[in-house]
Amino acid sequence: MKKQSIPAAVAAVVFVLIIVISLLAPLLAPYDPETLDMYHQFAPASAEHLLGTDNLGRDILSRVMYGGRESMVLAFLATTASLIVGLLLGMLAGYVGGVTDLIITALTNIFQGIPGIVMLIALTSVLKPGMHSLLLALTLTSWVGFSRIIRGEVLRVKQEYYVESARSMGFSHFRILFRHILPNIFESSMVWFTNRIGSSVLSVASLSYLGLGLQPPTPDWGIMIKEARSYFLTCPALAITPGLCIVLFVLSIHTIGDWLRDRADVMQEPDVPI
Amino acid sequence: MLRVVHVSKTFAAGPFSQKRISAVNDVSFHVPAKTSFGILGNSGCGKTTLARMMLGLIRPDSGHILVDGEDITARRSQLQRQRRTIQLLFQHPESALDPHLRIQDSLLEPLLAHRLAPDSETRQRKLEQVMALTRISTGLLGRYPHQISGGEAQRICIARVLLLEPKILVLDEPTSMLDVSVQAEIFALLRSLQSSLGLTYVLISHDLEIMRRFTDHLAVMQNGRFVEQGPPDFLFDCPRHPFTKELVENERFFSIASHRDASAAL
Repeated sequence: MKKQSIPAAVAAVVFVLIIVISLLAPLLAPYDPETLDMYHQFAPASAEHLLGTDNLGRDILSRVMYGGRESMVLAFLATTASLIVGLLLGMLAGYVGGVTDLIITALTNIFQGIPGIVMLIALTSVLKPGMHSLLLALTLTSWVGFSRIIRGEVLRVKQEYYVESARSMGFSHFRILFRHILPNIFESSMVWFTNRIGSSVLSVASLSYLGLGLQPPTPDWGIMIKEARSYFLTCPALAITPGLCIVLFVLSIHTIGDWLRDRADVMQEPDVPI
Repeated sequence: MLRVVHVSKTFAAGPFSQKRISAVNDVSFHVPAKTSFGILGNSGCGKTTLARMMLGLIRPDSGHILVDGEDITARRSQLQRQRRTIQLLFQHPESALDPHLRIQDSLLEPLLAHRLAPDSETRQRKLEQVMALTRISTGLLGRYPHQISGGEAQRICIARVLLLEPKILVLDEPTSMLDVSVQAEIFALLRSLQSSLGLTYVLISHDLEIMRRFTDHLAVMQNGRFVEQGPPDFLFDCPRHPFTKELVENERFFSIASHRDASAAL
């Protein structure tokens, strides 16, 4: 394996591990994450409870195993929706140009002018709390990045000779866009996609921490940190464990994203040994 | 076959500038069928802008371009009808091929896009025909554009446009990025295609020697204008315009210099 690929390989293992554990949580978790046990509050780590229990006597390990499920699904769905919206608008703006570009760019500028977290808070406090409104809010805040990046990429690829030659051979716009432009901007879109999934998991956690995202008693990393706030000095493991999970997940997916980006850069070069 | 009548094109000097830069200024010429017409000029003189207008990639500000008797500047439908009649070869053949498509897919694309072959058998037959004409070996078909040489890429580009059955080819410095031996090979190929398929060529170049050997009629372009037109031998032997004189003298100087270098090396 190449030296540069080692961090990515480690990240991939961590990422797959987190995904598999989250998926198989109902089979793997030793306890139900929502069952209260008032006789064993703040139990320290033991053979029975490997990571101890929280303020309501719930098993921390089980809660952490379940804690990523909702936010990861949300992040994946929202980022995919953003990618689709961003691809359509970005490709339209970059390829058609003129007034269309002006309108779409103005729209992205307006959305980009509002800080993401502020818009998320505003949207989630107006909408009914729940998965649907979170999905909508996350998509509305993250399509802008996709649209801007894809527009720029389309503008770059549009200048290439192979697009010019496709035009001069009289190919349809549809063929040029989806057969010649899309495959050539896909790699950079995927890099941005992986980065955005990490950021979206962070956003869900932040919103849940603020009480605007997922609602208790759902076992969620963000909610767990929020609940652990009052006991941080007496029982730090309560906050650190879910925090660590978030960090590990986001870090692993960003590392994979960086690796993808480096690979995409190499693909641009003609066979030059590095 | 191709008639260009008083064509002009200007570009804005900058995003906030009212000033316009003239790229092509009142250019007219006529290319009879099955002949080669040369446009000679330095870089930045408007040659490529002129080529892009002939292909219908950009619209001229004024003037008309008639391809096979039809004015492609007048209506979109007419341009669409004549799209296949006039085709372009690029200066950078490797970058004229989509890096994500194998050579075979790049070659088949014109047939699919214009529905020129109803079934895969016809497609395969047409592909084989054109590969034989342009001497492309089957080994190249599975490769990607970055895995082939410039000469091979240019022959593939020629094969690809031939599948559209064009009548006119615009050659925009088709060999300036290639070795001299490959250059000769490409021009020999273009020559044989001209006689076998009856193609009409518009060759754009800055190379006097290529012009002398390849074209029947030549126009010298400077700052967006045609300053002089005529048969190449006539133009080079007794140039009248100062710019043509300068080009001929420069070439003479370099050929003498390279001759002297060669003798010194011996």
